[in-house]
Amino acid sequence: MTETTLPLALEATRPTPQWKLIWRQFRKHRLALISAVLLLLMGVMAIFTDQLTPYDPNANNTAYARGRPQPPSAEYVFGTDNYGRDYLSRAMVGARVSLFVGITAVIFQISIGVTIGATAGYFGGWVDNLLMRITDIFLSIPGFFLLLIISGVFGGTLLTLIFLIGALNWMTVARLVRAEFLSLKGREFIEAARCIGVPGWRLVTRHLLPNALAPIIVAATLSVPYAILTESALSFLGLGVPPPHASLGKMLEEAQQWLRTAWWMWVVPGAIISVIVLSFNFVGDGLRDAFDPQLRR
Amino acid sequence: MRKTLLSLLLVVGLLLPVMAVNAQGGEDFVCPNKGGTMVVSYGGDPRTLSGLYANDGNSLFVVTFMAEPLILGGENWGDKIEPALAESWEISEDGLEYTFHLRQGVKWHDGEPFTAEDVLFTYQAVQLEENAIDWRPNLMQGDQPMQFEVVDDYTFKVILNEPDAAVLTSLAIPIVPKHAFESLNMVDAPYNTNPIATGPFKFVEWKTGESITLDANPDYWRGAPCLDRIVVRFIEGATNTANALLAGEVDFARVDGADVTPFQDNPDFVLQTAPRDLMRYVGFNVRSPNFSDPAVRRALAVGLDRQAIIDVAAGGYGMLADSLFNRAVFMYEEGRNEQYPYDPELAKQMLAEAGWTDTDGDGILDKDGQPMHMRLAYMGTWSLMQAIAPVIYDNWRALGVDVELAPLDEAKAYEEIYENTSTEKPYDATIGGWGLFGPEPDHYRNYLANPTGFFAFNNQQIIDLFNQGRKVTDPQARYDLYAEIDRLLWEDLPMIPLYQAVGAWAYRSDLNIDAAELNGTFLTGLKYPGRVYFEAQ
Repeated sequence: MTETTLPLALEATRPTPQWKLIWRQFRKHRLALISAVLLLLMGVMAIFTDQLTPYDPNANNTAYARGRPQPPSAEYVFGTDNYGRDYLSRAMVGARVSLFVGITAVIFQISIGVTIGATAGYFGGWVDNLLMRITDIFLSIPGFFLLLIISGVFGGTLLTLIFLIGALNWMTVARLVRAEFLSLKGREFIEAARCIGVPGWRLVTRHLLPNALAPIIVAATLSVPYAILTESALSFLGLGVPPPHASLGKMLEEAQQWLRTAWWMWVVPGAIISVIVLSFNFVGDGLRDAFDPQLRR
Repeated sequence: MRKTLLSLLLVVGLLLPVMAVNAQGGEDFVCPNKGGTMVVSYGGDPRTLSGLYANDGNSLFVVTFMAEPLILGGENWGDKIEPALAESWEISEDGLEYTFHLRQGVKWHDGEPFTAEDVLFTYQAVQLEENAIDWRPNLMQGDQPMQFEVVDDYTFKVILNEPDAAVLTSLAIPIVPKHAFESLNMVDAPYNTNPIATGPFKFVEWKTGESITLDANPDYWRGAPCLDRIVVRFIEGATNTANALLAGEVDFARVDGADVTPFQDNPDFVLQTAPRDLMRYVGFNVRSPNFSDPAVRRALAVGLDRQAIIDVAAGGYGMLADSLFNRAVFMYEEGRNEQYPYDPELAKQMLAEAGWTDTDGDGILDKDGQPMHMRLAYMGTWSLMQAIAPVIYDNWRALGVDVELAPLDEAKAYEEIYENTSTEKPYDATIGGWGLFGPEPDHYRNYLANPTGFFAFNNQQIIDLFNQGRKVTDPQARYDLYAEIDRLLWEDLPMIPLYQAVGAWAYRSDLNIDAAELNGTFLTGLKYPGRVYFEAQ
């Protein structure tokens, strides 16, 4: 009854949903928007790579290439490498590997980071102390070299790389989540929840975590480029996907000896890595701005 | 095909002038111009500077400038049996006694005279088991060591237990000076990092990770070298080497693959090619059930585009092989074996005849329910192997072989392939390269007639022939016997020879190496480094 008679003025002041506010703010960040669209397209492309590649990415056409990379042509849009393998197909497969590694490694590292950060922040005291010292220890390890050694010893398959990238990069997220939890713990709505007897795990999952989500999402987005670059660097050094399969880092490695003579060999994978990394950075940037209430006007 | 012919012509054409110089060369070469430092480059720090321990490229490269064996023509010492520190030799009627007449007046780098005692000392040190010198099997006959005798200062005798026709090349071991050692045991001898020898250049300085400096030996018996100094700079990788050459940091070096291009038609550089005594191969584990049938191996040879491998991996600098032996062996004859043509359709047909067809339609051949899987192992850190692997993968995948590339790091490659002395191999096939065996086919016995070798070889007929070959001394009978082995191996095909490498050397155009004789069967590429000189400005 009362609802139907609600005056128009009141209707207008009904709070806009949070996601709408975020979206509105995000939209203003042009670059972030374009990047998000680009990433979405790449995501779709990655899912349907097998159907979309014009050639088998590992099939040679040695009669065409005759030992030298061939420049872009109508037949091969991005040219071929010295085996006559279609560079576009290889780039697509490579981009898929990069995206896959980037995203899964980050999901993995966020899971570790959130678990440790939340535990430390919620319990405090000696638990916090212990976990944070462990975090400090991990932070003091030169990650890239450890990665290099471990993947060298245990064989650098894609899964080990994902595991290692995740296992060595969760510290920032853990610290972020802990700090967020510490500040949230003292707030009135948490005290209120405690007073009415909300159990601990529910407090964390329903009240604390959702409120700490914004910085986590931003951190995750900004971590993806790092994971992708690490994977590329390791591929460049011969780890990662086994030959003859392509990844962007491997393509760059193979391009090394053609730097002077075949520009497309390094321009293509290099440009794709740059685009992916920049896109993730812009989206992360945009999200951070969008989540920040101070910036909303 | 035309391309092969062209590269062959190229090789022959470049060899001709070299041969002409050789004919008029001789021992009395006079330097047209003296002085200067030539910077050459090679991969990295040597493991040792002792000619006895050098068995890797980095070490052998440096040692070849300094040290000398009695006779040229062994592993890394050229493709012809020629006198070096021994002037001449006689073989007794029964083939058991070899008498060497040593060159007189040869001096070690420190001025001491070279005598038969040094030769005896060298060979005894090699025979000493504790020294763990790789040459040891050369001086053993089965379990029996060869006997040596110093007749006088310049006469040295080698006494065999049974005739061994390969002995001359087996004895091509660089001689070390007796007076530089305290005892026969030389595992940790200071000599290994501060050598003295008889060659054209003597050791001066080793800057770890950077370079080795060698000075001319003015008392060299072939005549003082024209250059004052050779610096061996350590530069890893063909691209870096090419860049160093272009930047003027290196004067003479071998260039490879795509990095040859900047030196073609470049007025500042001369580019010369010469066949190298090196073979690249893809070998089978002949005990692997999928590849134990020679018919399957022949089919895979037909299904492999080896010219494409030469183009991709060697930038066209290679010769299609028609023998499992390198061309340097004395009984090599082009055309003895019929070349396997590249014909994928024929290959499929041959595989079907051998019983391999795709019965379940998954794209992979199978026989008796067994899919044709192949674990192809190779040293993944070796860029040449990296370059070859994708072609094999693609060609054999197209035939229906489930190829799995297994690039191994160095330690793993040694464990699984190079130092694996069991007949059980953890791979179905392996890509590799070998060479510097010289003119003597017996040096292939360890690889091609050895059940514990890379291919777990098991053709008893060929193994027996190889063993027999050591005992035959009559040249014609030897020729026939090894020609027969050559034919049988081509049929059995424990490994598919991919190509024999052709080296391309680039050097400053004011450097003259004509009299030094570019020779790809020496690791340095130079037969007489003492005869390299800078042309007067």
